[in-house]
Amino acid sequence: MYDLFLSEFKRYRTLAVVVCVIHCIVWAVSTKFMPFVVPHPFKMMGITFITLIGGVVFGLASTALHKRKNHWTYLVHRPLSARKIYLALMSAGLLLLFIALSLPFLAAIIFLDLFSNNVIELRHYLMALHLFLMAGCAYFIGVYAILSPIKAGLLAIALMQYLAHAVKANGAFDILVDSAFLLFTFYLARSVFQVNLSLQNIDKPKALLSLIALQPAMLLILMSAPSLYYHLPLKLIGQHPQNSAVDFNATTENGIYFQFRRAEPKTQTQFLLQYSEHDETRSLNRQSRLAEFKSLSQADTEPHFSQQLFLKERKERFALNDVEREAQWIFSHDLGIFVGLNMKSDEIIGYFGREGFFDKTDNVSAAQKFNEIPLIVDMRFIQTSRSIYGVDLINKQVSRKFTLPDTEFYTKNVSFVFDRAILMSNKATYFFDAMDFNHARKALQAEHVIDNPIPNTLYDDVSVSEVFNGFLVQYRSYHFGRYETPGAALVYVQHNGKIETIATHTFETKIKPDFIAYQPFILSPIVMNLIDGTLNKAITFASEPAKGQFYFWQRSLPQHVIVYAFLLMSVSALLTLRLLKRSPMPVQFKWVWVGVNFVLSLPGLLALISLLGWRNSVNRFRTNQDLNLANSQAKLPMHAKEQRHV
Amino acid sequence: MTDYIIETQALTKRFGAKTALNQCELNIPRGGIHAFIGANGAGKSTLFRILLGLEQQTSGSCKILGHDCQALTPELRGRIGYVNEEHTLPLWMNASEVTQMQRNLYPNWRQDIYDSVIGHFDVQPNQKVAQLSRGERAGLNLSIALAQAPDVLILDEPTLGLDVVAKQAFLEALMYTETDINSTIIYCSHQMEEIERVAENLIIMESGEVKYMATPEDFCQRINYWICDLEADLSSIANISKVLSAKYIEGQCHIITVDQDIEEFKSFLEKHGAGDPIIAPINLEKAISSVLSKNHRSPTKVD
Repeated sequence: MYDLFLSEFKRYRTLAVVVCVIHCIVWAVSTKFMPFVVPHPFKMMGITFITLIGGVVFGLASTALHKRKNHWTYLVHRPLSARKIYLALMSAGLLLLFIALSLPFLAAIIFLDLFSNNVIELRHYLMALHLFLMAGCAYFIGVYAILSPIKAGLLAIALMQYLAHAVKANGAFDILVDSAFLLFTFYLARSVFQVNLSLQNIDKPKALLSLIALQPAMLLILMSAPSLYYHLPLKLIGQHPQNSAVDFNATTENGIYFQFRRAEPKTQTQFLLQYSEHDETRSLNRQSRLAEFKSLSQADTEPHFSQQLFLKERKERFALNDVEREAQWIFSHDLGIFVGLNMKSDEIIGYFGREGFFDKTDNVSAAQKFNEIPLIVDMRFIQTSRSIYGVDLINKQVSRKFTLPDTEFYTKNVSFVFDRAILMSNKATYFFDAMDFNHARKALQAEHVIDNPIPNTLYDDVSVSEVFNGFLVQYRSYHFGRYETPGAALVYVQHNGKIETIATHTFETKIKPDFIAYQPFILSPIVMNLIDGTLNKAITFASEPAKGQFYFWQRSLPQHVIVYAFLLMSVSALLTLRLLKRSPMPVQFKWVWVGVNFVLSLPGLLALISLLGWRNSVNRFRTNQDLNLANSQAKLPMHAKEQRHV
Repeated sequence: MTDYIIETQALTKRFGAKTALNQCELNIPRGGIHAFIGANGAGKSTLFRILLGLEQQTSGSCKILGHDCQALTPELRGRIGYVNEEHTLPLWMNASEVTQMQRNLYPNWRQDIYDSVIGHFDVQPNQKVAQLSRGERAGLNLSIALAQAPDVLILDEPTLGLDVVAKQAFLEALMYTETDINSTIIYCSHQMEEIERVAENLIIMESGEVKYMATPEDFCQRINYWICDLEADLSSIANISKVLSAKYIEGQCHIITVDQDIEEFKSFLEKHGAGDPIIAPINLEKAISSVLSKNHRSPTKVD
């Protein structure tokens, strides 16, 4: 087995080394523009792309070369079991991928760790491991796609989406998920690696795994299908609901939320004031025509995790820049404090934690450490989930500005509008005097505390306008009243401290028909929503709630949508039963398939059809007979008749 | 233990509408060199692939070394050698590395046989396989295959594309080893002079069936080559089931028959006005080509 491993390794080692060198050169050049350790979405995207494509292409190409007729015979006809041959090839493949794709990355990290003062921690090393495991998964998918009779097997690459972007957690969790995927894809490829490649069929549990692997891709295809049969045709004939957005005005009745969102802020305010019975409504309406409107921060506030893979960090959380002193204050996940680094001399210039600056890390107290990954705002504030600190890099001072009550957490970054600093939590909006907020080195009291009009964790947007007696704050959400029911509220904050919700409106009319709007749920109610809720969102689409917000059982869906979903699940199960009716597989296994496709619904059925082959499936539906069997039986007598003897 | 190294019963293999092997019955005894002959598409390679467990038969049974071909263990695979026409070897390795790999894999490795066979070819140990000529690669492949001391060695057109010298070296190496380790060799080739030289047993395949299995001498005895003066429509003679071919060459009628009683056919010819029919000697190549071309597909004539 070792000899075969060595042989396979020798076959591609030059190529691997060449790719490794190119990779190193690319890193060296790119570091001139952006330091290696700075996370950036493009960097993450580029590395992911190279890793996935590299893995898949290598899997496809190396296996295709082995699969050639005589080469396959040479490979498998030896005194080694198929399992050992597979292990030898795959081990060599993984080692080569490591050299070509992961080693340069790892070498750069080790170099920086050993020869610089950069903050290099476990999360950097885990990133290298993550890339290697992803490349391995992609490689196994490539092997699977070539050896499997189902060429659609390559679509299983859609699974990698989760590995690359969707999992946002501690780095160790990423590695755990990666490892699980690696084992899954390893087994998937092993299941099709057989001496006799023509023996592969669907009548084995391995096909079940294939189906699970294909299912997300099928779901993606189905989800994008409305563009073809709904959006594009309506756009072409000018009847698409989005075209009517321009018609929305302050007096529109039964408006659509989509139109409302697209309208100008003053129109939005005037529209909401229609529903107000406040004494000053007319005055506010007049003022709003001339008022200035400002949105609160839309910046990302999603929680980050200790030892999160460094390229999955947001750049905004990476470092506090001190341009004057050419220094960067980088947050160390290990220490829980910021480390100051002179970018020119590579010298450490100090540290700071929650209570101030210090020179050495010998005795960092728990009180000094940030116990979560903080967010850097405007290069002068540090915001954690419940507290916000001001950082004065010149005078080397840190001051805690404000801390939320225990049950609250920030949902937006601090915003500075109309001489006010505004903080927003899951329960309330806090107004501070901007001058105090910027300069006072003490804990502050909020000038106004506005309870959220609807107890909602995430508002899509909150805007503020200044009027004569105070402020108008407008809250908007897709899930204002309940799930999938958008709405907005207008809160009047007066200078005298009086706070009133003067108007609310929910939009019952939807822009899209239910079968389009709720399609992800209808198509695959269980899988789609479990993945969405558990592994966070891999696919962004506006009508879905924010990640992890709702599982399917938590959503208040219209009854007919649930009926549609149930019908589709039932139809998928019945068609599966029909497809497999004459299959020689054991009855129990047929029922497993039926059960699985009831759960997976239409994407599951499509995956099964691609497993069986489209022509074969159509034939089974039409004639209840296997295509290959039908052909061979039909042709047999003709051959017997044609047979000639000497 | 069975006396046959390869046994098939009603072996049939279909690829969709095409039948590659049709109720193939074959029993190959242990020892000796057995030559497989057949036109392209006769089913030889398909049979080999089934024998090696790389394809599954549609019906019938197929055994090699007394075991079901679909359940070959690694140990059994170690007793079956296979050399294909491309002489597939890892091109990126050098000869000594390839040899070392095979030596580690095969417990019965015979270094003496390897050294002896490779001596027929100019292969340097540190030469990359990719740098070897086709003949040298064939030699290296044969050396490795024989050094594994297999119970059965399948050679699928091993001399295809080799020049005369390389072919000569290959055949000499093959024949020498056959007497030393007593492997059963299955030799598939379209080169009749090779077959004539090495084969102890002929297996002629046609349209997925085994048509003949006999020693070359026995086979030639069953074929008669008649030459006579005959002025008649040859198409009626050619349609007789035991006549393989009938044609005029330089004014004389040349007829080849198989399993045809000599006296009976002589009287038949004389009855049709043939003058002085004689039986000429026929070589193996002509005999085999007559058999194979009998049912060879030809375009339908359009008047």
